Amino acid sequence: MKKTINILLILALGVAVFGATPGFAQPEKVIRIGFPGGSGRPLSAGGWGYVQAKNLFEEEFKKDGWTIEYNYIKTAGPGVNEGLANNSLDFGSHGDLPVLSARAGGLKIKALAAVRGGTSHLLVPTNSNIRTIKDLKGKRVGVNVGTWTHALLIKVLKDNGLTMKDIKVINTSGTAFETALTTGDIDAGFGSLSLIRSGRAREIWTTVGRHVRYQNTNTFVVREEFLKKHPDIVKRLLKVYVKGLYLASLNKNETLKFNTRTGTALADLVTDNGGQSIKYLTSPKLDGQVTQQYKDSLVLFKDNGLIRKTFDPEKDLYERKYLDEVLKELKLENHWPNYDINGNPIKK
Amino acid sequence: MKIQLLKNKLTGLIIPLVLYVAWDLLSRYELVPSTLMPPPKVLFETWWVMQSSGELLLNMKMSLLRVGAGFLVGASSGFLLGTAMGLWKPVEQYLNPVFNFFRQVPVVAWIPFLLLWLGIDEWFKIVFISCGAFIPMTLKTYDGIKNVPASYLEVVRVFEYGWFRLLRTVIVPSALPSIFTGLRLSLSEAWMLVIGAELVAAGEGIGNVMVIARRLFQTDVVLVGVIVIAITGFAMDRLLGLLETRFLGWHRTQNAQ
Amino acid sequence: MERLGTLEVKNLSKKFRSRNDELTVLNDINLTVQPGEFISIIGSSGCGKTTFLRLVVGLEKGYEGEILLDGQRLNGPSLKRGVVFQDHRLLPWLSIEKNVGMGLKDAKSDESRKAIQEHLELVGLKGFEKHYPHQLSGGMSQRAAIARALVNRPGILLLDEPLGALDALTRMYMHQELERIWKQEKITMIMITHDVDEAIVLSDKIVVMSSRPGTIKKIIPVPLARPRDRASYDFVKIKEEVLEEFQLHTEHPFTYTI
Ligand SMILES: Nc1ncnc2c1ncn2[C@@H]1O[C@H](COP(=O)(O)OP(=O)(O)O)[C@@H](O)[C@H]1O
Ligand SMILES: [Mg+2]
Repeated sequence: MKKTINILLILALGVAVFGATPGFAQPEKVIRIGFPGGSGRPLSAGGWGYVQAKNLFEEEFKKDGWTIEYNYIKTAGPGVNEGLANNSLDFGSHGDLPVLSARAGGLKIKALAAVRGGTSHLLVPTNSNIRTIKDLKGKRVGVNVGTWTHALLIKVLKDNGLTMKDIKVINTSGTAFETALTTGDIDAGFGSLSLIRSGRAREIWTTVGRHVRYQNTNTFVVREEFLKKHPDIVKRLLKVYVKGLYLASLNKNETLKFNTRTGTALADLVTDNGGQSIKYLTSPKLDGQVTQQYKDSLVLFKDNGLIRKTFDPEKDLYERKYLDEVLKELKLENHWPNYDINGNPIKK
Repeated sequence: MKIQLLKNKLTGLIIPLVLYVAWDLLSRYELVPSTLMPPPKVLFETWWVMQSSGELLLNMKMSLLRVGAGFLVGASSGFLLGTAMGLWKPVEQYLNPVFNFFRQVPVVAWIPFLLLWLGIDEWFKIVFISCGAFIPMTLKTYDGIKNVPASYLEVVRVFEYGWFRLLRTVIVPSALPSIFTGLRLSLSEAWMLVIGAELVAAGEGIGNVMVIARRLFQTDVVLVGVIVIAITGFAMDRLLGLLETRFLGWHRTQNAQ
Repeated sequence: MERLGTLEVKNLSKKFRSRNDELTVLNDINLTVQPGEFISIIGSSGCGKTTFLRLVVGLEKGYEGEILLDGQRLNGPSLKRGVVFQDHRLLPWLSIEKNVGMGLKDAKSDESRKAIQEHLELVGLKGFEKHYPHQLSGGMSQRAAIARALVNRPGILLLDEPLGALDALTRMYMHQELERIWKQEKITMIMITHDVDEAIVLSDKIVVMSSRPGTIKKIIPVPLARPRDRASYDFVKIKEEVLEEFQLHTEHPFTYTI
């Protein structure tokens, strides 16, 4: 009898220990949005920058007491995933590898819209004798593991007949990466133009001017549980967001200027995205450009062990209902064309 | 007697078993999201995939090699310093304050410095692990020698022993239980630090597998790593424990009285 | 065997210094021990018996007066003087055999093996060679300690309350054993005790000490034939004489707490 009681007690303890883990409670009337924040700057690039700078969400939700919380997560996309997993974030806007690996790992999220146009540059120290991708063989490459540049590196190596096994991966990011590159602790890695402009690095490869499949295509995602609980809020938020994108798409120069608040120089923004149409850069549509690229990525990630099991994004990831309704209500169905895998508008 | 012993061992299994059942139930009925705590079944599958692909073995081998090297360097230099300080007054007077000063610094606090000096390659990891393994070994060896009972030393003084015989007959055997404790602490420290080192700097190794898995939202892999680390650490400690019983039978039974 | 020597202690005083205190433990001790004599030292606890013994062994330094062995000043501990401590001090990691062999230069030689075997037999521990100290009773451990002290044939054996921890029956048995060993080995023995009967049974002379500071109060010879009969008139007479020194009489049972 006493034994049974003991065992029951221990069982209760076990349940208490495990039961206490499911993360943070949902606070009242706060919308928490997470961004990869490697640079630590409190503003995002592209259409997001416009929405944030103009306080569009805050204005919209002021009247019914909801507040907006922008979080810039130092650990980038993977960090955003962790926030979504433990209920400390409701929305995220992050790259293909983090979004797809999260969904493959069972994280319950839905993609509401696409966020296009991420660029990067493969850098080496200025005095390095690495000239081409092929020279990377056996070299120490700084990788922000789990982010879109990790996936990009795999793609680029593959184009040159190499795999991740041919290089030494050093997991690093942000300023640690920049320092390691300048001290020569690592031989190469993806980074931003600012390192080149300050004379600390040299570029051997860039996404700029290449096929859009090398660019980062983020998705704007929401935690499924939040979507179920507040579909109206999600729709309103998305509506304001799309309105913002529309405004941003009207004046490319003004939008780029807003984006300098990320800390990136206007000249660099122009170098990176100046060659692309503002319509393309601001389009929220989950069109062929996105879905085809994600489909290819899933195969690539599976082959490289980045995800352990695959899934069908049409079924498990994309949630187009809200975007379609919003576009209709705003009469913007035809403002953005659908793009194909090559980033070209599909003519009706 | 035997049955009692078996019973004692089984008692230690009750709580893990209860936790296992609780874990299985909670994850099976989705009371805890599988992204935070994957169910046991998934872990077994993941473990099997990692095992059969050789991924687990390869990375464990790397980590164990690092532990081996760091432990060997750290524990043997700790043994030498501890012995020297325990036996020779001048060494003790010169080095003990310095040692005590530096051992106040948690080993992880040296990471930035070590990275600066040694870069992020193997050297960093091995030196880092050695530092951690060095401290408990020095302390326990020194302690063991310092605490050789004066009464035993008097016995030998009457027998006019030379220093070698004194060391062999009295000092080493008397200090051995403490030295063994030092070895065990040192090994478990080494094992913890190898994971720490791999979390900081890349390369193959089970710690690195976990870092990457975390970044790729593979909670199951992270958890498999945790369990493999626990089991390996436990096994290594058990192995030393067995050696200890073999060499220090007198000590166990004496203490049991 | 070591040639037996005469132990002479002249005007021996010993002080212990603590931080700002000075404690005179022994004051002006004079004692001569002839080769082959059995001497008991008896006195209340804390009177300096152990200190005296340690001085004679050579474990304690810094004293006034002289301790001479055959006219030679002592210079530290030596194999010539065996000692059995109050606690047996067997090394727990060595078997009984190895403990007993501790005092031998080369414990592995045939000669040594024989000596160890002989001494184990002498103290009645034959068959316990491979046992460890924790497997022996208190009495057996003391006997092993005695064997260890004897194995390298010291001229003098010093015993510090060797039987203090034993029960009365074992103790009486050990008295016979000690006497037998003493006779067989023909060595000088100096034994500390606070058991008056024990002292009379075994000794040629009983040294009675008084405390604070420790001095020799009286030396009482025991001229009785061996083996001694505890119930004999002469035995009781001598017991009276010893107890007199502690202002006690046989009517009062002797207590160990004096
Ligand atoms: N190393 C020491 N330092 C200071 N005092 C001591 C030391 N050894 C013994 N004494 C003191 O000397 C006195 C005699 O001690 P001891 O010779 O052990 O007495 P006994 O053996 O007669 O009981 C005691 O008061 C004891 O506290
Ligand atoms: Mg005493």
